[in-house]
Amino acid sequence: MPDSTPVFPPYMKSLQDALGSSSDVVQLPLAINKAEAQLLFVKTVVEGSIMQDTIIKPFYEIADTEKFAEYLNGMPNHLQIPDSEEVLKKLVQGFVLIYCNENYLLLEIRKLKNTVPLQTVLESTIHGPQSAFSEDLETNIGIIRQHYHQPDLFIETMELKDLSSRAVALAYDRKKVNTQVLRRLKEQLRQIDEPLIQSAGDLAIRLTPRKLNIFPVSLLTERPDRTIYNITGGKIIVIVDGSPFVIMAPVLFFDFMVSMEENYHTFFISLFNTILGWTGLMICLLLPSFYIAFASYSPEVLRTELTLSIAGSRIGVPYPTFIEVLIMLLFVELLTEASIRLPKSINATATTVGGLILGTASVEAAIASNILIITIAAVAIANFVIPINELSFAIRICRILLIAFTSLFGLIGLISGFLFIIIHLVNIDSYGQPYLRIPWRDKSSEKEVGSG
Amino acid sequence: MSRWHKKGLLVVTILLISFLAGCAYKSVDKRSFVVSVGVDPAENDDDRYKVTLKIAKPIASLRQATETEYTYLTTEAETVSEAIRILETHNDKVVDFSQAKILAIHHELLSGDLQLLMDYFTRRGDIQLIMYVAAAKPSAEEVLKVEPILEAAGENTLYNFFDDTGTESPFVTTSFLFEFRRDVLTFGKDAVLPIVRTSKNKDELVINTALVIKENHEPVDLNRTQTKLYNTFMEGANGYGYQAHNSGYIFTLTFDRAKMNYKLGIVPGQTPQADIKVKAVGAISQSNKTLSLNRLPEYSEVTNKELSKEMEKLFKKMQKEKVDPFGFGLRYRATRFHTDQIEEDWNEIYPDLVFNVQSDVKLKSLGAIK
Repeated sequence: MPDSTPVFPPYMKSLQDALGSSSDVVQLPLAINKAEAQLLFVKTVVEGSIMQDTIIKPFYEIADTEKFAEYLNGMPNHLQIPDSEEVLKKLVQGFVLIYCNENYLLLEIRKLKNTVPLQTVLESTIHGPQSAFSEDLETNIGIIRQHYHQPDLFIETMELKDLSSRAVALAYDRKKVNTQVLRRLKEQLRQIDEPLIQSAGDLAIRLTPRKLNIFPVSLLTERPDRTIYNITGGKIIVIVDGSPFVIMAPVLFFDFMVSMEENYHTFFISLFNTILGWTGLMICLLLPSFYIAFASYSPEVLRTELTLSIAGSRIGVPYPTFIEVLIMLLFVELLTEASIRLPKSINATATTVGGLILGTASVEAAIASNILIITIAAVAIANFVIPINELSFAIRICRILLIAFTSLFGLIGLISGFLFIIIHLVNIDSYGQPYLRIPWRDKSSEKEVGSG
Repeated sequence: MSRWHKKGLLVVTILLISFLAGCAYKSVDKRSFVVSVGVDPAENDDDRYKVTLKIAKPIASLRQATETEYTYLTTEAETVSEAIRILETHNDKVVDFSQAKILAIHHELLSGDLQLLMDYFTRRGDIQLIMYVAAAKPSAEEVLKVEPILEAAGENTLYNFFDDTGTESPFVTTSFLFEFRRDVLTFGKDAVLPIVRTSKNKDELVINTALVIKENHEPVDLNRTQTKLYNTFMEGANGYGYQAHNSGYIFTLTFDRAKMNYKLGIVPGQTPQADIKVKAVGAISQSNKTLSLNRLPEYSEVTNKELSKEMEKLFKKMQKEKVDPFGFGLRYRATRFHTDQIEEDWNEIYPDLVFNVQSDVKLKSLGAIK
């Protein structure tokens, strides 16, 4: 063995060639006295200070090749060498390849990013926990572990086969989980054949075999408390690296109508909240169609005063009611979209300008009736009462379907359109579980959750 | 057929269906809402009826409107339906009866053949359950054309009178179209209609009397007291305005609850009797003398005597006029074995029926003088 310059081992050489001459690929020889080692890593994904503390410093302290090799073997984050294809992948994920004592070794010294739990944004509550998941897989698993101290909590990690090789973890309670659903979900995860998956939302869509869906069959949440609540209910959680959302499956329609706030209030307050949520859902779904049905097909349903008031406010409106509704609804949808896309500092302006001025001006210009403006405003507000965002998107689509039915067949059309939605909901399933099942909680399971 | 063909066909079908929508689709602004219908005898000898439709004119801003705007369409024809068909040609919009809640009938028409008059209305499915029937004096057209000063824009005074959302006076009799038809056709019970009168200068509507209607029989007028008693004990109305003059007292009473029960004691060979029990709970709201709380039973007794007398007077008047708004005949039919001649039997019994009225008024207080 030569003593001055360390020999560059041929295997490492071939790996470095395979990585190319990227500026962040580092090949680092270490040598002191007779001891020597070679490191190969990509410095942008490796945590420098940890590497310094756990590899470089000990090397110079031990100053003996054999002992250093023993030391490395004792580290918990080391990995035996797989084939070279895999090694390359590991290197870009944040592993360090070490050549020491004629042996190759992989050490995981991944640079962790975004490990800070975020603030809840989409499902904020008043009394509930205010922090959400972070964007890092391990941190998120840690959050779940810390909230659910049960030995039955089982974590399985796997890697997606797409270009991002994203790490994915399944978390569930081994005793409560439905094994059939678990098997099915794993099957789906394995079968995913997408070139690129970047977030939990992305993955959730790929996980469903049906492509033309309106209603989501898995639930995305950013709240650790909702996640734990559902783990205790026997659901499976899919955590995706780099996404602040986790996927829950299987879900029921009624899961989308639960706001976590309801768990943090007294019975009557949460009952009131639940009723409010469902009223919001119904208003959001039905009100525009009711307007068309009442104003164009069945004015006899309403009181005389209201009928005359609608008739009066429609004076001069050139279009039939359904076109009137579609125009105003389009404005509101644009407004909602715009306020999502715009930077937070200016989206208030868009809402004000759009909402207030557009509404008043369109009444003045006789494009829409006063009553319709009230209807549309109520619908826009009610849309945000639905606790889970995914559902409110689905409801927006269904609303248009109902408007079409009502425009064609009046009140009967509205009823049959609603029936269609119900039939569809009954027909779909979430990983084999009926979607519209009413979640009767039996007393014993509730007790178990309470004692656990 | 390939999948794409099928999908294409579906799209085309949906597009074609959307063109078929036209017929039932009629926006509110293309409809004229009839709020009241009036029927009078024709002035022209060739025709029989004069029909008046009161149509609400849509107002863009109800708050800024100073008065209700109604428009009236009137024509004469041989039948009601014909008149309405003709009136449809007087209007560019669809005549919509779905909000028509008032049917005002000229009081003279009520003595004639009701079948021809009422048939058109009772055959319409949309208005049977919402339309109130009233007798109009001096004529239906004049009653409908009254636009009271207190009527706000978008309001209809007659609706407020009848549907209990406005006034709830014991003087106002309410009769739905279906009730009216049922009572007219039922042997043993006669219909009672409110009389709507215009005030002298035609800017008010007054409803405090009623008419008892029997088919092919002259209508019988009920005066104000009788109307009130009928409404209280048959329709469950209550409120102010019961006068009792007795033993030197003059009371005005308020009834909170009032009820009437009766039993028919009809045994062959004996005088037929009706034992009528009248119950009421109320308070004295005005008196001509100073009253004392511990003499309440005495005041109740005074009231009882007066009430029994008044009720008996009412029953006897109805008996004399051969009408039966209280439905004694219906009760007789319902509690006897049905025979072919049950109706003739009743016609023989009714003139001899003796009314034993027993009233039980419980006065709870003397008002709230402290």
